[in-house]
Amino acid sequence: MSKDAKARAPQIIKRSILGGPGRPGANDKINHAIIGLGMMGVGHIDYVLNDPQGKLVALCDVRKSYLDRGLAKAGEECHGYSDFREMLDCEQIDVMHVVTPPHWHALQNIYSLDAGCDVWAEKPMTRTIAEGKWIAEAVARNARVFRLNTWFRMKDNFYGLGTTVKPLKKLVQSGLLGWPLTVRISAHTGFAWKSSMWMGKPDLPPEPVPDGFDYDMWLGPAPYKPYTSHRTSTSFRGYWDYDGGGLADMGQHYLDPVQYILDKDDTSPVEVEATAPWPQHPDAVGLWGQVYMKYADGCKIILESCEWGEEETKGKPFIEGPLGKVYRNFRTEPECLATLVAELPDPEPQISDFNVSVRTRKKFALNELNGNRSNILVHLANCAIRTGRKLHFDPVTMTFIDDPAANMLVDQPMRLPWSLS
Amino acid sequence: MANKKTDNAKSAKANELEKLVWADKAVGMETVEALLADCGKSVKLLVSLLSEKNDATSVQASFALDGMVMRSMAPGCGEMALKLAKALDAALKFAKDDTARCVVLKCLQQLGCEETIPVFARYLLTGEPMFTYALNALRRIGTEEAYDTIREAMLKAEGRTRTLLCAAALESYVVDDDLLDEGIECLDQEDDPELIRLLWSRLSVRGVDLKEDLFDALAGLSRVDAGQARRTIIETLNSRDRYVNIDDEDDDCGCEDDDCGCENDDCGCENDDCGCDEHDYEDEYIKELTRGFLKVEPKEPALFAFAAVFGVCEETFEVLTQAVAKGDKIMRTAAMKLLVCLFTDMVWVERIVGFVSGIKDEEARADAVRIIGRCGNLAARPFIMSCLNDKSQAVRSAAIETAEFIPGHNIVGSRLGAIIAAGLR
Repeated sequence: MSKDAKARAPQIIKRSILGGPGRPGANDKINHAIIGLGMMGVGHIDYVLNDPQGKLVALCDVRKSYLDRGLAKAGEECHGYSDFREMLDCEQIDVMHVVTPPHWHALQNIYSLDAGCDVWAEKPMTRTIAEGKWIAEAVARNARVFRLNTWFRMKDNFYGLGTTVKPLKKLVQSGLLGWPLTVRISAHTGFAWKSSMWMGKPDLPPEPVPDGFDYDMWLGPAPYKPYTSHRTSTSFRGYWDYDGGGLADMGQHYLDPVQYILDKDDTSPVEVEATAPWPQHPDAVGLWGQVYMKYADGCKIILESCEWGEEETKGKPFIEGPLGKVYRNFRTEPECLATLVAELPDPEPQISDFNVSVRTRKKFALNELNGNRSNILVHLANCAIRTGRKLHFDPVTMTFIDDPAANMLVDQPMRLPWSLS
Repeated sequence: MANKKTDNAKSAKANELEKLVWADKAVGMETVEALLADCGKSVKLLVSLLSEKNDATSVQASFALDGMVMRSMAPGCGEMALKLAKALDAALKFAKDDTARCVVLKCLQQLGCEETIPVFARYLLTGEPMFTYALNALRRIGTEEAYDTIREAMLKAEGRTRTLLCAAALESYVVDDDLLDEGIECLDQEDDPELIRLLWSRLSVRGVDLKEDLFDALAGLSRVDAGQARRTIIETLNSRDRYVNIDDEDDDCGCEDDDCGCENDDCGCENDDCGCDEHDYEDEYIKELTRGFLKVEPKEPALFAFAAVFGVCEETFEVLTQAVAKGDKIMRTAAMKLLVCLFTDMVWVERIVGFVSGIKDEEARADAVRIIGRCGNLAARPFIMSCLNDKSQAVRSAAIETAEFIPGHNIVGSRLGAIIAAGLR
């Protein structure tokens, strides 16, 4: 088939007939496939093409134009699909990249894990709290490795904070700041929440479904709503049926490192409250002002969008403890803390190369367990915004205490026949 | 005069609703409380304003209804929720179009009041989009009455709707043979692979023997993808023991042992070995499914399922040691971990040690030593110590690496351990 503007026909030789998937040996390439070829999906294509250990074997999207664009970039050896289940069944995939909107994440992650793939998942990990647990179970029963597509706990400058995460972790684990700690994530500490950017539009009239777009498949487990282009392009983030606005877009990038710094990878806050417009719209995600989360030991995380209501975090430190504070660009109080950091012991090493995880079967630094915990932070915030009241959360059962409205948001039914038992 | 009064009232209401669009919480709460205070009238007006066009008043009505639902589901507000649900039910007839009806049905779904089951019954045969909201509302309520409602609609439905209703009805805690037969019949007529998978799962969990279909699909010999079969098997093995088949119920469970200890008249017998036919059937199906799964797809999910279903027994031991001996690194690792986690008694540990000692491949033996060491079982300590003298450097390294996990005297930290370790490097 010609390369331009046509999806290549897949090699319909089922994996089951070939006798199961091959595993990458020490010198073999790792086979990658990607579901979801929007803006982020294209980024994943680039990553794999630039990885000398990787080979891009298949792409999938329900939109023909996206699939064609992806295949043109990927090269002739890459196969195209419009149905991810067919791709899973026909291809020898070692790593599946799930880059679809969040309402699909749980299903596609679990289908991929059950099919024997390791998974590289986009954030937020899931659309609801309950789905995160199911992914963790699927990773365990299939002995797979899983990673989320965020990395700031491991490397790179932590957005506008002006430092990497490592010295913060060292300082916190040294106890020199005291305990408990308060962390503030806002524009004033270097973080933009994109609330306005990803706000939904509650007043859109329906539009005809464009040719070449399988809207029913795009919806998948989400309830049927009349098509509008704003719901299904990058701005899907603005609709509760699919995502959770700027909080869900940026949340795990910002909150995962904070969770790591505070050593909260295996627990969750017990209280959450928000200042936001109320009531919220049932369909379109709106703005918010602040979210306050508190752990059982008194540690707090304060989020501020700086896009609605009064601002509280201006001039305040990023991390504040009874014995010390850390501001942007690693300015500390007392000042000596900034220089002491160099002498403090390093944190436990982390596996920060996913290829290593795949080949050694060791957990990646940001995996399904700690990833689900920062995923929960995002959803706690949105639940507080939507219910308009202070909520109490049980970190063990991962449900709200005595709040049916909030628990209704924890686990929402899928549109049959899509289901996770 | 009356018209002017009505117009004034409408205008006042309209102003109230305008305030709700991205309102400050205090204003929003006050407005919502006022709407709830006059629930019947408010809801009637709001529902009449909803529209597919999503114009300004429709948007305001959406804000209002969501606020009313969230407020009435606050802790301790059960009566308010019921009142709101009844008002929504009464107002449904004022909905202009399907979008409006869906908004109301979604509100009712969220409220989840059993009293509104008849409301959802009306929409199970109207087609999408109301169908999914009504069905999911009943599934969420989840009572026997809710599932009976689904089942009654199923008997009147045809085609895909009937199949979806059947699949939903099969979620009920208690089903009978008629429903299982319905499911099987729906399967024969269904083309949608996802719906086939759903029915397969629902039926297989109940013990309906689908082994042939499932293994054919796994082997690529079916019109249905292997993935659907795989998911079905995994769901079956994860979900077993949760449900009851009432047609298996018998006043006399059929057990031949008068002292079997059965506490119930139905097949929920607590004595696995009582010889009850129904009990054996379910167990046998699960066991055969597990064995077949491992045979057709000898990978980690089947291995884990095997260990979970069969537990600590000779068969499991054989399966796991075979997987260590013949599998690739991933399979070996998974199998070895299962071995050391499950088989913890001294007798089994000795057998594991004997097996590992006989592994010829050095890398495989080293990996196994590493896993045994990391499990921290004291019974394995002598073996780990002996590995410090193994002829393979890989094995010796693995032993040094994991010795610290063995409880008791730190053999590497000791002087003797340090000398041995230094001599080996």
